[in-house]
This record gives sequence, structure tokens and C-alpha cells, in this order.
Amino acid sequence: MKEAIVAKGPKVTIHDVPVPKPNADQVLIKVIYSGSNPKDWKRPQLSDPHNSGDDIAGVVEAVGDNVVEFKKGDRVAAFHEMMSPHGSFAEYAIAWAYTTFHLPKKTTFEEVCTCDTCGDQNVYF
Amino acid sequence: MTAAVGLYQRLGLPEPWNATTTPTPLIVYGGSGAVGAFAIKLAQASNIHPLIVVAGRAQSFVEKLITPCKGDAIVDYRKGNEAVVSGIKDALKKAGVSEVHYAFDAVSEHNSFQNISKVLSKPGKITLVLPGKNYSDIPEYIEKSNTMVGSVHMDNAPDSAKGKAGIKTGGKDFGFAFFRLFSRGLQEGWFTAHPYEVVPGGLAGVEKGLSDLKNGVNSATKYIFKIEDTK
Repeated sequence: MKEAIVAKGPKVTIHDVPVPKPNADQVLIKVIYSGSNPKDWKRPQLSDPHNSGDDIAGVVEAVGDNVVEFKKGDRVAAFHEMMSPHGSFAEYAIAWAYTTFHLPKKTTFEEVCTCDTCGDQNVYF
Repeated sequence: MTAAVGLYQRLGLPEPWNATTTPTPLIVYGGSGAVGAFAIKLAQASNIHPLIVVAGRAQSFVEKLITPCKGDAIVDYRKGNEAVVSGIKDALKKAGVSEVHYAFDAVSEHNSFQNISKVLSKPGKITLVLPGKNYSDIPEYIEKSNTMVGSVHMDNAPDSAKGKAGIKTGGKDFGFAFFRLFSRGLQEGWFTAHPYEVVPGGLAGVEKGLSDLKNGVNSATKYIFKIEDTK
């Protein structure tokens, strides 16, 4: 799959990488839309280059063994754990089930990916 | 979610399922950004009013989020610090309240918390969104906290008061509950998306989108990327 890695600048490069696997309490999501936040360029100024996207809107591709709330094909939005691998700037992303939620039928992927972290401005100096 | 953490976990305001009927003035500093706008929407669900919203370029956007008949008002920060302080005081007076004890500072720079400090009454609470900054200008009688959305992925620190008390529940449970409430709020219609702009090119557009965020090109919009458009 394709994944965007954000480095200082921001300078972004796209890489071909394997599709990640969810652990027992996680969900693998095919990303339809990714949101963005100011921290997505701020964090890579201070840390190693990484996939800094955290706002996921998409379709569940696979779930871990402990996940009962979601199944393949569910329309969801999720907040990816910041600074952990497999963020939202990719074709597939990983989120914890507890920060994943179902989309009402009338809610589009476009609109919901503005809601997850809600413009988080965090940056660590 | 940043807005929810700030309002409910840090400021301790009543959640939407326990909305208040007591006038509860709240300053939202930076009302047109995503954090501020979602703070207004959630505060509305909690019936927290009057909302005194400090905003700049995107006032017409903020106007649609507030309820003036409950005392809500917008104060323009572009007119300078003194005008912001007097504007907040005037708005409180017009709303028929004499004091404000809560502030959500979704800007946390450009003199925002200094201005807020001039109007918050004892006992005051302010929550701020930029960690690691020097907030020593905020007087002692105002309780300050940092709102970090990453807290929904964290356990209580072992050396924190809660950690020492053996409390296991906290940020993760808050995240679990509130993300599900978002789902319901979207269905019911009281929780709505932020305006957005699709940056062309899918992943190839990420660099442009993030650069525009850095350069402050956007006002009251979120940049999003359609992954399928990646070539």
C-alpha cells in the first residue's frame, strides 16, 4: 500500500509498504478520507519523519480478536494514536477499537474526518 | 475530541447528558478554528451559556454556531488586547451576568491567556491547548490545565494522584464514551462537521495541505485528503 511520510519542512514522501495488521484490540481501516491538523506538520519538526495523520474516515478491513463492536465493511471514523505507526496518511490505517466509532448512514466520510481530533494543535518543545 | 477533553475533563463542565439550566458563562478564545468551533457545539449540547466567543476573520461562521438570545456574543480580537478585554466585559454585562469562571483558550498565544486572565473571576479555570509554553502570566488564583487530545490514549501516570490511588479508569474511557456520543450526535443532528476543503492529489497533496496549514492560509476550514486520488 502507499503511505505518506512527513518530515521536517514539511517535506512529504510516498512509500510502498506492507498493509499493517491490527493487534487484538485494534481495527484496520481502509482510509477513504484523511483529515489533517496543525500538529501533523509541527511534530515532524521535532521528531523522526513519520506518518503523522491521525483523523481516519473509512471502511473496516479487519479487526483484532477482542473486537466485537466492528466488522469488515463497517463505515467508521477513528482517531489514530498520535506518534504510533500506521497513521491516516496511507491507504490503510490502524486505530484502537475504543477510539473508533460508527457513522450514521447520512454522515459522509468527507465531513466526519473533520471531527475526530478536532484541530488538535499540540506540539512538544 | 480535543474540545470534549477540554470542556469536560479539564474544565469539569456538565456533559451533554447532564446539561445545565444554570447560567454558566464560558469564554471560548478562538471560536472559528476546529477546536473552538467544536467546543461551541458541545457547549451548546450541554446548554452552557452565555458563550463569549473571541474570533477574527471568520465571524460570520461563528455567528451560525451561537445562540444570541441566551447571551452568546462574539468579540473581535483584531481590534487589540484592550478591546478584547472590554468587549468580553461588555458581553457579560449584556448577558446579565457579573462574573465568568471558565475559559477554553483554543489559541494559547498572541496574548490570549493574558487577556482572559484580566476577566476571569475567582475561582477561575482556564484550559490551554499549546503544551510546554510559559503560562506564568496567568495568576495563581486561576487553575490552569493543558488540553491534550492524546490523553484519550493514555493511562493515568503512576505518579499522578489518580495513579497513586490505584484508579485505572480515565482518558481511554472518556474517549470510548465520547466517540460513541459523537456517533449519536451526528445522527441526531446536534453534532456537525467542520467546513472542509479537499486538497487535490490524495497523498500527493499532503505536503501542500500541511504547508498551507503552517502558513496559516486556512481560516475556519479543515484540509482533507481523498486517498483514492493518489497517483
